[in-house]
Amino acid sequence: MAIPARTLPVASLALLVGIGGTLLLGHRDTSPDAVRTVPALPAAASAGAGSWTDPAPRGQPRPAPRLVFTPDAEGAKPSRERAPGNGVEGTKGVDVADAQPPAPDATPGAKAAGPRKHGDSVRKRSARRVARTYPRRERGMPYATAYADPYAGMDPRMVGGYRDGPYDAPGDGRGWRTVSERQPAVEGRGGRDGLMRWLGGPY
Amino acid sequence: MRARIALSLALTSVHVSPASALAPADMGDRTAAIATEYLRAWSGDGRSAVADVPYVYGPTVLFYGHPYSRAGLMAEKRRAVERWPVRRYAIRPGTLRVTCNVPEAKCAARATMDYAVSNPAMGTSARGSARFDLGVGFAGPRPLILYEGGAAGSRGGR
Repeated sequence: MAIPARTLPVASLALLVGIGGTLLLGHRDTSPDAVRTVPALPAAASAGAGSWTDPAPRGQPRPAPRLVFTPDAEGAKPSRERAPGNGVEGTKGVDVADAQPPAPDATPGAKAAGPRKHGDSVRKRSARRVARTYPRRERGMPYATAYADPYAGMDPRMVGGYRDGPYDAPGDGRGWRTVSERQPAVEGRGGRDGLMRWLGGPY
Repeated sequence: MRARIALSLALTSVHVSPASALAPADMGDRTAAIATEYLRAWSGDGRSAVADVPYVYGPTVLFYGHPYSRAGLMAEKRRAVERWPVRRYAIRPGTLRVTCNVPEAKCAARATMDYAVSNPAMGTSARGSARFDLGVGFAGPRPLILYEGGAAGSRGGR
């Protein structure tokens, strides 16, 4: 069947319109008001399924990242980076309490131990705590007071050693006592003190 | 000087009979007197107290955790006196406690001691309180100090 010559332009036009419509309908909206959807999750959200949506307009400066995490799986746990106070909000399905980082001084005695310095061992921190509780003997102390051993039971290398001499002659600053020369436990810190040991008997 | 005489009297008044023959109450009383007079004798601004060492101390003394001979003890006391030429020691009233081990003929005195010492030449001073321990043996012909120790209490000075 022959096509009338005058109908060709109409068919061509329809074909062009069809192609153009397909192209137009398949094109993504790139207007500034569009919300950009990031299909790939950030590494921090890899524990839970979901999507990260950045509501900030495209092309506009963003002062700080503000991400909204919408988990689509029950019980998805946020990472520390998404805890409240870090500029990132947790939403439905997020156990905020679990997201709180542990308090630095949560354990008993941690505050008294002071801030942990780089490279410190637990023993060093403990020694410092003891040294603060029982301050080091001061120079200038008369002999009768010089032997209160504030570091009883501690390794002297951790607290600076012990002065020597039975008097620890006030102000002289002579040397340090060694571990073997430590005083016996003083009264009130466990065990019998030296006087009662010397006395003997059930006293 | 008067304090030294009092200390000597406290130590020698039982010389007439073996110290071990004392009644427990007498041992306690004697120990309390020795402790009081001992600190009084050490209070002063001279070095004469060092001379008492051979007389008031036993041949071996457990001195602040260390065993000392009389000679060694004298040396230590001399150093202390040089460091603090001016000394004031006193038992705080009501704090002296005496415990005796009668079978072994020895008594222990414990008290809170207030002190104030200074070294005018160096311009240093210290004052405060401390626990004062003194052990006295009564096994010999006269009582002897066999133990001395203590622990720091509150302090200040410089």
